[in-house]
Amino acid sequence: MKVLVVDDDPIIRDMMADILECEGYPICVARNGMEALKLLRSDEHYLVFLDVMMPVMSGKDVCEQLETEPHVRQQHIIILMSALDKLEEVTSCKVDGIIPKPFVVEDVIQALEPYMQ
Amino acid sequence: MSTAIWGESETRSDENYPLSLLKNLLQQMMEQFTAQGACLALYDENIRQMVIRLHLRAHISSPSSAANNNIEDIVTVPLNPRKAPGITRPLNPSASALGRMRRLSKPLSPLDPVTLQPLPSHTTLFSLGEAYTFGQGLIGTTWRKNEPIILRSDEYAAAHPVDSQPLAQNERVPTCFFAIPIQDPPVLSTQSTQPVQPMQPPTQRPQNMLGVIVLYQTLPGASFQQRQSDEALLWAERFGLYLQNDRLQSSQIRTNDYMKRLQQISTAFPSDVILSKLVENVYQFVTAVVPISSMLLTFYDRDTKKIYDVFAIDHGKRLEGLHEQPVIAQQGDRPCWWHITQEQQCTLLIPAIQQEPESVQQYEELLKGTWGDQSSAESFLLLPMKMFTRVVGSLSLASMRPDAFSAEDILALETMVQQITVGIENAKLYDRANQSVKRARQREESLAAMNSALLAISSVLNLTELLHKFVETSAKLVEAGLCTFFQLTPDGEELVAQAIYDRTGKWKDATQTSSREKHDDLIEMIRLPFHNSLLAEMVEAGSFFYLDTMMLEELAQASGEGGAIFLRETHSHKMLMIPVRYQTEIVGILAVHTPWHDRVFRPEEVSTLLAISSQAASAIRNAQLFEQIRDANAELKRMDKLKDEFIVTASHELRTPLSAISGYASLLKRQSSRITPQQVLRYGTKISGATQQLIDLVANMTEAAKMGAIDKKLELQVGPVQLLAAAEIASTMLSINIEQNITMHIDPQLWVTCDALPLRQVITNLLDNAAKYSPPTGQIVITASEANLSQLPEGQVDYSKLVNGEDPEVVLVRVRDEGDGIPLEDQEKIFEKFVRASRSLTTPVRGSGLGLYICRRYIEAMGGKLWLEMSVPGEGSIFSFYLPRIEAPPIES
Repeated sequence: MKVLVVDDDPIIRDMMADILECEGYPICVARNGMEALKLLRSDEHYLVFLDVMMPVMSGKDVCEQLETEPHVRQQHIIILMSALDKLEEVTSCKVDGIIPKPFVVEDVIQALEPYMQ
Repeated sequence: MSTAIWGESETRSDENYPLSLLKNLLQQMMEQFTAQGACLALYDENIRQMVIRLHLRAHISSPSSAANNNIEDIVTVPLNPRKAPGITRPLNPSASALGRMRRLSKPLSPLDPVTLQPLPSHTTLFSLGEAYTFGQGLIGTTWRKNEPIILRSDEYAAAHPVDSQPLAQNERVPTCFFAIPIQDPPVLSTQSTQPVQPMQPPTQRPQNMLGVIVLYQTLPGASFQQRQSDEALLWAERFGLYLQNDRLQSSQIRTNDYMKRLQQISTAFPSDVILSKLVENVYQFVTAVVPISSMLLTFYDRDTKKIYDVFAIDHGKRLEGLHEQPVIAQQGDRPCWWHITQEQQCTLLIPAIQQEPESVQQYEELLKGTWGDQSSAESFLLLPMKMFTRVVGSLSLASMRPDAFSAEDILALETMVQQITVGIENAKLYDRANQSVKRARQREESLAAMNSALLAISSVLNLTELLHKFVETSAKLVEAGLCTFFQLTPDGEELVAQAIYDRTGKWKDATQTSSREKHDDLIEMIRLPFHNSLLAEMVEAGSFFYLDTMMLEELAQASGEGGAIFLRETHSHKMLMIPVRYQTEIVGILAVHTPWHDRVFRPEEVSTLLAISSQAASAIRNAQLFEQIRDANAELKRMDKLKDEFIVTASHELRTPLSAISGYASLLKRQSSRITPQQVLRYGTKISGATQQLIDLVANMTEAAKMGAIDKKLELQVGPVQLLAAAEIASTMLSINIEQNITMHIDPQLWVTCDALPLRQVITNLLDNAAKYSPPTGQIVITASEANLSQLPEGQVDYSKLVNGEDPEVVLVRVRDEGDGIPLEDQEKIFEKFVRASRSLTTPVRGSGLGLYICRRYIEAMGGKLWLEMSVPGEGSIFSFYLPRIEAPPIES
């Protein structure tokens, strides 16, 4: 299972790469929901760190789109990265985990470990 | 004969004399004196002659036919057909007269009744209606002598040859005549109550003779004896009493009639105060009382000191419309009238004008005038209308009959005149009282109108609506056609029209506008100078003042175009100005055009306007405060919303670098034992980058706060700046953090005047924005070119700098990106403080939402403008600004 980081901010993408590489997980990235969906619709299985606020297509939009594509949805693990004060806005999203922003390395590891055994 | 018969037999409503009773009496007398014929002549006042009213002749041949009472049906010849309509006759004429009548009736012993025979229709002897003057014929002689006369036929023929013409064929010639005078009984209280009249006519009825009875015999040998004279006189007295009684009765009927009419007149007041109706009543009354041909009613008004002829009838013909437009005379025009009515204050009677030429001469003024020429009339009467000691008018009457006004008629007329005088005075008082009540009511109504106007004004919080209501109400309360409210500008220099009520359309005409909106726009063009003008002086002087033509012109000369048009073209001769004060502070002035030439408003109108103005002042102040508060409130709300948005935005902006710091810091801790120095450097750099971002953010916020309100002037150090240098510095600072390429096309010869630091900040900001909204591979291009101000796109040109043919040179700078573009609805909002494009909530980009606001403030403070020139979704945007261009300074050696 590959790790996919979806975030419009390059700083965050860089940081996620740094964190996950140190832990031994190679990652791939996408800058918005649209780019992410293209990758998700392949045969590959991903564990996705999905930012909520993004241009073009937000994380929430991606979740809603995947609702309509269950066969795509079921082959991935989705973990939302949402601002602490926006958590209530994403509770309706059917996801596998939520990391509040700002976060620390341990938040990422804890969210990822159950699925990456 | 009983009293019952006496009363019942009255059927003489058309007659002047109770002939049936007289006939009865005469018949009895015939019986008493065994006369074969009898006639009765009665005095006629109108012609002053004795007129034969009755003539009876006994049926001699056959006494048995007594049952067949062939009384000759003699009818009077009514000389005066005047009627007293609808009057029931009272049966109690005079107690004393009746008593005597009864006494006298007693000795009438019933004899064999005389049967009467028809009188030949053409008899010449004492024919009915024949009149005798004083001393004429047997009757006239008896009248003159005032004693019974007995004449045999030969004596009669000798004394009165004219009367003894041959009789009709079957008539017997009387053998003996017995004439008895009927004297007026010297009785009854009425005589003593007769008023003493000025110019009472000399008595025209010698010995107060009421009539003459003539008895005659036709049988041969029959005659009258001298000794029968006493008895005959007794009979005559009976006739006299009867006639007198009858006269009293009819006089009482007349008096009753007067009373009734007087009552009618008096009840006509004061409910009926219309002069024409009053005069009608007077006329009806007068014509019922006396036979007049002309009448004139004259009033004297003490207030105007003028004499008014209000009603006139000239020989039965009415002068129409006189009571609406009376003939007016001064005291000097009517000396005679003045003398009689105002000085003598007495009734004037000329009973026989034609016999008194000197009276006609003396009173010519009274006989001629509005009612035509009455000098041909026979009698004249002038009745002054007395009210206590003064005379308020007169009633003049003229009759074509001599001696038309008897003493009691005059009394009745005087009473009537007295009554109408009181009536007229009452009517005047009533009218005055009515007017004051009316005035009070008007005042009350205007107060009520004012009150509702005040309420209406006070309840309006919308200033425009309030002012319109204010001018409209004011104009309507005083019926002015044009009413304007001028508001004093905050600096106290000028008065600016805010609302105008233009019923007459004068202002509209002056401006020649038809469209209402344009019309409203023009209102604010009406500006009058206040500070140091005559208005300021006069406002100091009093609570209100008028501007006359000269002042209006003076003011017009000191005014701008709008004010001058207003003052000159609305054709006002006078303008009422009411300063509208809130406590001691002048809020404005209410200008009311007087409705017509030179009219000054009545004091109560001015006080109404003053009251409404002072009320309006506080209402205006309230409305102003309300609007200020409302505006402030709206601004506060807007600011609050912006602040909320800013906080949302700012928190997002803060969160990104915070996430980076937090993430890298925790990574450093976690991997501290394992990571390489290169990694430490990398993480540290990331942390310091994010920290710098936070620092920038805080700096921007501080800067925006420092700039303060939008109208605050920024402190700048303006000087020549080379555009290229500024752009390069900005670009270099930025390129560390961005992925995109920045391309520059700037001529080093382009210099602008501005503060270098803000300029750099602006360029940095624009480039940063371009980078934020562009993909990493996108191109960012910054170009600069020289231009003239007028060549810039419309809307960005500051036209105030184009006056006097100038067209300053500027440098136009463009920053173009290949980003997503900005939605149309956000294109202007993005320059506002704390506002970012709405997508920012789902599209996190760097920046605090303060960038463009700060940029625009700086550029405008430095004499330029900043705008979004173009933005196409998916293709990119171009932000442009210009600054004043200057020549490049000489290079320092």
